[in-house]
Amino acid sequence: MEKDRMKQLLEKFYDGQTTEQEERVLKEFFQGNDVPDSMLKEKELFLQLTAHEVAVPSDLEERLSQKIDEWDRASRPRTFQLRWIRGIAASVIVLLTVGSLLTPWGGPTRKDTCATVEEAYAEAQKALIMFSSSVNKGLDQVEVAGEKTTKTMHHVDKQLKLLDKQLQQVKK
Amino acid sequence: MKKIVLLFIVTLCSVYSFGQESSLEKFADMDGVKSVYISKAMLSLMPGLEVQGVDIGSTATKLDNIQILSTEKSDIREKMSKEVKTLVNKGKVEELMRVKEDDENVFIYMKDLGEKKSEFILFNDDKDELTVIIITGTLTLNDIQKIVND
Repeated sequence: MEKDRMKQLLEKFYDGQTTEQEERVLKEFFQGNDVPDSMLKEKELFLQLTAHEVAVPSDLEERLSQKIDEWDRASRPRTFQLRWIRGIAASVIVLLTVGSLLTPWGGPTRKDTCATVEEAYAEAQKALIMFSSSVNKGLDQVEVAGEKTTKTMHHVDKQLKLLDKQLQQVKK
Repeated sequence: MKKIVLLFIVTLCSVYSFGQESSLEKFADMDGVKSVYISKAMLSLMPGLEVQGVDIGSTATKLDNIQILSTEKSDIREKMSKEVKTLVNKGKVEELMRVKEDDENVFIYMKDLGEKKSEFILFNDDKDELTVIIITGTLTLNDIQKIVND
């Protein structure tokens, strides 16, 4: 009878469903001398399984938390760096955007280089005449109107010389 | 992260291209460059004087500003020529005319600024001097031509 009960308990033990008390009963039974021969093999296995109960090292918890801390520390610098890079990139973009918005598109406005209206007028005239005569030169060459061109150019040259004189007078 | 880098590059590029707009102006402050700038305010002060055969008064009102750059230094001349060439290549200005006469090379370029405004650039390269005249305003090439041709 005891043999049957023990077999049942053993089965329960291997299923992991025994209580502490039942396990103690089993242990006592196998350690005792009245183990039937048919159960010797089971006795051997059971005793081996229960003999050395793996002792939990006393510093396990400490070591575990140490390890966790270590992983934590190892992973922190990366996220830290990433956050920094993101922050810097974002602020540079903001600065560039603000900077480009504040800068007038056409670049800095230039100041007049001429002190007096007369000087400016002479310079403007000179520039416009030069420009205009160049345009005419180009167009007239297309038209091949020789006489007219020389006449105009002569006039323009005279005008330019006059303006140069005027300019020099104004500047003095 | 990739997105951030991409955004960064795009922002940089746009800022850079805006900085490139008026690339001839940087020569104005260089040593060895004679620079004259006449603003709209100054132009508006000018009397509608009419010099014999030359009509400036009617044109002056259409002008926003005139800028004249001239230099005799060969290294700056080279740089300016290069700058203008890159402007043409990039399609920022259009070549209107090219006149070659003896030692003189004249190029005229135009840049459309929108709202009927345009910029005309005269690039006059003769043997002793390079002169660049930039005229901005609502005028047309025809207006410029009329100044001495009437």
